[in-house]
Amino acid sequence: MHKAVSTWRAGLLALAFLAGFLALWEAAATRGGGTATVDPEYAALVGQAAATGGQTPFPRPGAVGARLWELVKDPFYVRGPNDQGVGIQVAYSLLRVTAGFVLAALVAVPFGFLIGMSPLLNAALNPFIQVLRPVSPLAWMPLALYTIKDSAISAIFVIFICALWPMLLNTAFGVASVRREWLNVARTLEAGTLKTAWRVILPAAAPTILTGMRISIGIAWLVIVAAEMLVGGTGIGYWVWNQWNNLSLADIVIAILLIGLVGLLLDRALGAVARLVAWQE
Amino acid sequence: MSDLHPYVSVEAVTRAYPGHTVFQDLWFGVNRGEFVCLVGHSGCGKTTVLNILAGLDKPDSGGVIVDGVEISGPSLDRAVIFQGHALMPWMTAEANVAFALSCRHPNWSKAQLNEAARAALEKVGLGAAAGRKPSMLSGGMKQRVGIARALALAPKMLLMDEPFSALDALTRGALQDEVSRLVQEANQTAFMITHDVDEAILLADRILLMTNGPDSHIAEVVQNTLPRPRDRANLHKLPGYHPLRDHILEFLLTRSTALRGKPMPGWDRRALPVVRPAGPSAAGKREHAPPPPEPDPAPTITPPPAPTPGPIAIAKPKRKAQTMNDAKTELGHKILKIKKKKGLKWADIAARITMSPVWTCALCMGQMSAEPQHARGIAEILGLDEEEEATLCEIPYRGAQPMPPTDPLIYRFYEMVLVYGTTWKDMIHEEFGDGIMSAIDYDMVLERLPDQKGDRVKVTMTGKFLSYKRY
Repeated sequence: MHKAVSTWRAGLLALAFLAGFLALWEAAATRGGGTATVDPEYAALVGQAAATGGQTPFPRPGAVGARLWELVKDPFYVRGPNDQGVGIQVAYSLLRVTAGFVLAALVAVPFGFLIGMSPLLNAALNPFIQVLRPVSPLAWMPLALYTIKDSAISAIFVIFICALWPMLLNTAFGVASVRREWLNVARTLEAGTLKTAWRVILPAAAPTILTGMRISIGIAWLVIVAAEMLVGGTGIGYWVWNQWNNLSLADIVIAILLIGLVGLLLDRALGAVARLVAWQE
Repeated sequence: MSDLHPYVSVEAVTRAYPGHTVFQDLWFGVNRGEFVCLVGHSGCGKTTVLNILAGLDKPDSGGVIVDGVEISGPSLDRAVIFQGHALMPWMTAEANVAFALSCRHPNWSKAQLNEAARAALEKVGLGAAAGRKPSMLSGGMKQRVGIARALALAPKMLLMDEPFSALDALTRGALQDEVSRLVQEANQTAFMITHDVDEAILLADRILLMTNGPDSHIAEVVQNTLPRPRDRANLHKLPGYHPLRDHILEFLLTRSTALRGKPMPGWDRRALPVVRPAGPSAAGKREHAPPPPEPDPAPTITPPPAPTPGPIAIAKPKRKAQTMNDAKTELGHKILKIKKKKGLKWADIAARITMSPVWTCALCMGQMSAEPQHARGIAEILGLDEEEEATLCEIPYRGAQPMPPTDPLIYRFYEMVLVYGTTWKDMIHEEFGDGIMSAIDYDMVLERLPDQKGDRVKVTMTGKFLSYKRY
């Protein structure tokens, strides 16, 4: 059993871990990376690091912090298609995730309802779901690009596909496991099918459906980075790839941090919705 | 009494699964304004009967006719109070009732629905808790909401599926009184299934006794002639209560098994035998005599039979017992000692008088009155004297027991453990087998006594004794 842990002590320990991590990072980044003298014109052409034959030094925490401040100060600038503020990139990614997720919910919840209410449909569709569910969403990308012929919509389609399954399965499960006695109450009250679905089954299954949505949004946010790396153009995933091409490691570190934070916020947001529909006996 | 066309009529109903017949060709009726209880063990198919009446289950053949119309499915006219309240946990108490009302009155406005729901809740004393969700209500309050929901529909018939079995003894009692009052006030036709004998006696006009399953049948109809209004506090003082209770108990303990699949001779499924153990209220007579052991027809003291001196008579100077309960308690005390000394188990004594160990225990401990032949057997095996044998036959006056413990037998257990230091494991398992657990369907708290040697445990029991669940 866990005893109650004081927030203070946990916070202090977390800070200590962070400090330790930063110190290790600093130490690791300082080692290696001496400089040799080269022709300044050559160096100007290919970059100092490449010219000396060494690698780009891994950025130190301080450098990352400075870069972060720079990005946070002005997150929404647009200087041409390849140089846009990090805020704009995150906004693009969120837009895609939201579009794909909402579409998936619009399909998954009604279908999940049908599957959950009909054991026949459940048995008939289950093999397809079981085969399609484990497929990496990125595997759909070539097919999507070929058929849709639009990279932006293809990315949304990939999000749609990956967000679909957890919601579908959870909705079906939630609907199928609504208590027999509540359905019996509805039957003895002669509540119609629609009324039963809306007033009894949906609220009863809502917590399970929300759990499915929470899993879906998590997966969607994981997948969007990879999808945008492939599709290109905009988005935080593209930005990561772009910074890799620029060898701007500090930006990549910042992107990782940012992706983590946004993912956390998305999860929390759905968690809050789940609390709204939660019921306890 | 049963006229030609009862309000609700179950006719030739059969329900069977492949390889398992629940019951077949079942006939009974419920008259308008009548309260009928169906009593039987778990698994005898009584819930199936209720579900068929509710329309939740379909009979394989036969049908149910309510108010002249054969039912085809669930209906608002047959409201069900479910065993586990079955409230929607995401709705407040008021919303639960309002939801039911919205089905009854689809064109009522929201305000109308809420007002009616609140009124229904106030009827069951829950006006103040209307805005709470079920998780914020106690078990008893939840079931009250369930009752309010059913009654708000003003159904033709109220169906209850062991509605109080999940509640503690105190709450159960309060709710029984409440349902009794509400049903009487509304002159509501009601059908309830239960395995609590006192509940059936308190509420029902007629009690249908169902044998064990599979292929169970309704063995007889017990006419409850105890006068109304009845309330729990005075129920046991009504003349005829004890014979009535004993009759039903005896059915549940012995005949429900014995009669399974082989009805009594002369039994007619369409004209079920009617008995009135509590005595005739009107010009009633017994159509078929129940088989022995037959309970006392009236709560009078049975005269002691011829004396039989026992082999070991532990003759101690007896204090004069103050009341019958004291005498029975004292005797129980003595029987325990003799029993221990002789190394007997309840099962041994039970075998001697051909009764179940639980039943035997209840007789010996002063819970019940014994039949003369049983008292004789007990006296012989234990070596009791004449007077003691007579005491066994006396009817305990349960109303005189102090609170707590309310029940001599519970008191006895309590004392056995506290005074004699019997280990509870020995006591419960060796003495009574699983029967004791079945006998006590109520709260039992086992509390380890820290400063004693061995595993001595204090047993605290609250509630009533003798229910018939077997575990």
